Amino acid sequence: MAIAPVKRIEVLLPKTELEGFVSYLQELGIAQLDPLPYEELQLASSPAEVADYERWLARINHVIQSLPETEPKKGLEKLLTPKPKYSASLRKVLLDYGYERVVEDYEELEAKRAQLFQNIKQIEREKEFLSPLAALKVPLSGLSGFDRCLLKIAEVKAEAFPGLKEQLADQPASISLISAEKNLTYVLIIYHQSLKEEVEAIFSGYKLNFISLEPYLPRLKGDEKVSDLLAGLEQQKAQAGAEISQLEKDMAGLAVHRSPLMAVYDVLLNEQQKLAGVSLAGLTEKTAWLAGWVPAAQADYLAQRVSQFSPNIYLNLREPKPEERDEAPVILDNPQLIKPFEVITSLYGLPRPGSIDPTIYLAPFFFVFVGLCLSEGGYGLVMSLLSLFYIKKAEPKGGTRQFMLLLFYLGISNMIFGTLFGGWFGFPIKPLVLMDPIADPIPYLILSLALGFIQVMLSTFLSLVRDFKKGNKVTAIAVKGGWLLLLPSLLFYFLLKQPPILGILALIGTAGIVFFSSSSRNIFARFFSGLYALYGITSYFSDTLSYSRLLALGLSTGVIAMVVNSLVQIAWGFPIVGWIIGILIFAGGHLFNLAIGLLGGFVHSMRLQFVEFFGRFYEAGGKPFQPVKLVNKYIEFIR
Amino acid sequence: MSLGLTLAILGAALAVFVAGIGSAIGIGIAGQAASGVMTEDPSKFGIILPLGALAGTQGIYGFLSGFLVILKLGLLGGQVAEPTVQQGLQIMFACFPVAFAGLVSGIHQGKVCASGIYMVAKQPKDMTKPLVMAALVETYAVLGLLATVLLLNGIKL
Repeated sequence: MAIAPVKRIEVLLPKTELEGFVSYLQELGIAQLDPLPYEELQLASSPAEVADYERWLARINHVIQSLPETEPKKGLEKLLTPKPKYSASLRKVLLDYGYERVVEDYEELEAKRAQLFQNIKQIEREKEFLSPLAALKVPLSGLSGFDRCLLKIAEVKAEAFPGLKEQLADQPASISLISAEKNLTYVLIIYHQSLKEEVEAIFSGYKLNFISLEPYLPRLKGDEKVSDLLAGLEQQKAQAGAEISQLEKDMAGLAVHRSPLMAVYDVLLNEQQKLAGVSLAGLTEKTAWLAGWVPAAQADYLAQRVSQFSPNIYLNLREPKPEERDEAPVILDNPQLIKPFEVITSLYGLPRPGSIDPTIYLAPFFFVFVGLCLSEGGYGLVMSLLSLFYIKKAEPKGGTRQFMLLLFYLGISNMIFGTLFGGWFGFPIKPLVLMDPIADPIPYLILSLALGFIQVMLSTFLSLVRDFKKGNKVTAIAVKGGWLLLLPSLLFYFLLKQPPILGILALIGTAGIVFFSSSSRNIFARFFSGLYALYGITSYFSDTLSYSRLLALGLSTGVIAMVVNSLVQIAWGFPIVGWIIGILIFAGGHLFNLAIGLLGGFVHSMRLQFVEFFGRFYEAGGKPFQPVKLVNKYIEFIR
Repeated sequence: MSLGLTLAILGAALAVFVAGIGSAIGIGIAGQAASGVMTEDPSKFGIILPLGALAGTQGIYGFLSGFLVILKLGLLGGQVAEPTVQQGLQIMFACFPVAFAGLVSGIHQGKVCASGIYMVAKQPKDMTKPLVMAALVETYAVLGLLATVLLLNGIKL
């Protein structure tokens, strides 16, 4: 119903038992540890080990991510599979799994594979270099030149080739074409040494790129040609490819280790978290001191479990001192039925310790508002069924579960308000429809504003409670009470034009606001700043009007649903394929409308809570309760 | 077809395409931001999508108002109404709030969504806060829609 009370815990224990105790607290998962507020005590720290865990976690995670799953699951199925469960007591056993070997083996295979990929790239480059010369029918050993003649292989632009050939024709030189590509030709040129300079002068005019096969010469065994070299490279490449697939097979063979590694990952993650918890302790030579918080409801349970755990541990439970109160973590405590709405409160930010938990007050309004914004029974049914299905199948925990339950509620809300004010998939159930906002939006508008007025009045009342608790009792009752008296009586007086008692009540309320808003002792200052406070009525007015959005959003879903149905009707008329197109439009259109409508309805209903409702009374700034507990990424620990 | 009917249809068209332009620009801005963030981290698609889509509502409100005019005129089937020139002008003016509030708020909502997307890129846990910020802008499109609906409701043919 409110913010749950918490108790301060202080624990004194032998240093030797510190790690084991924090590990035990993780399993209990009900106590939060804070850094010790005594600076003279040395804080425990073990950064080396933390970094060590960090590295192992990264390495294991990499292996898990790259190993194929033993039973591959696709999209939806994956989403709907709960995390595998392991008993928390198995944690130590899992560490003996020999994960280091698996990870090292895998990394070794990976490194080999990377090397092979590198080799293949190199082979590809050589092939690219050699392949234009494949047409050379001469053994490479014969290309190194002759006694009197020089021999050059060169690359020349295709358009330059005829000119080059013509110029060389006048010289004692021969040029022959090896191969031609789109823009390039590869040529073999032989010329006499005595005319070296003249011939090479011609070369410089044609921008020849000389190709040297020198590096290949030492590798030759006999009379290989370029095509033999290429065949050799091809063979090497095939061999590397075969080795890679063998390596990948070996890597895939490690996939059996995938799920144990997932468990090991989570165990190590918790070991790391444990060290983080240990580092919060203050240390003397032989003792460790921990401080933190526990929910008051679980304090006795904690004490009992701690005494069972070890006789050497001293646990002190006490009420927080006044100066500690603002530091206390905030736990929202609401009945099961209301709990999912805590999601909304937490989204805004938790209330300050000692202030009002708004969850129970916003829950009914949020429930109704989303229903009014969508007002679609069919969509509600879909939402409820899908969220229930997800909860049953994927067994989500914590926040996700609460959010799914919230969606389930909102689905129910839509089934109710969809029947009363809208329809099911765009078809109204006529005898049950109370009002039809498309035919006559005015009653719906009045309903929206009325709900808004009620919530604005509730927020004023809660601000009265808040101020009253804070001590300025007279001001709280006179001013906030004044508004609570003034606004409803004013409203009804205008609506009914009678009875006169309403006018009198309004005047009393006004008097309260005018004379108590300011704390000034000067009667004139007090009166005029009081008058100015009356100007605040505009904020009540605009806040209430803001709720008119419920009508607009409610209309939009209904009308789009109608549009979808009329499109279906048109498509149905097409010959032969009409019904297929019709069904596709029906499913797609309504799904789109559901998504957009829910997004709008949710966000706007939330905004009404955050801006219009919270504005008057809510004090945010609470810190969430973060107990040391078993965290999990891949698996779930159970007791 | 009478001038009155033509003017009314002009109103419906304005509601749809002027508000639609607002949404198109707004979603365009938000979409660019979303793609930018996803080049760094494609896994954020899910949490970014609502922010990317939110600026689309103005176009829907415009379309919805246009549809209400079409219904009012009986253009979908049955007897087509014959509004006078005065009534046609009334319907056209009634479409202005949703059209122009949608145009401007759509663009600005897109900008708010884009910066929200940048925020979510750094603080993935806080995705609802930028959604609420964007909803603050959308309020005026909603009010525009509301005015159009109420005005249309008030015009008797």
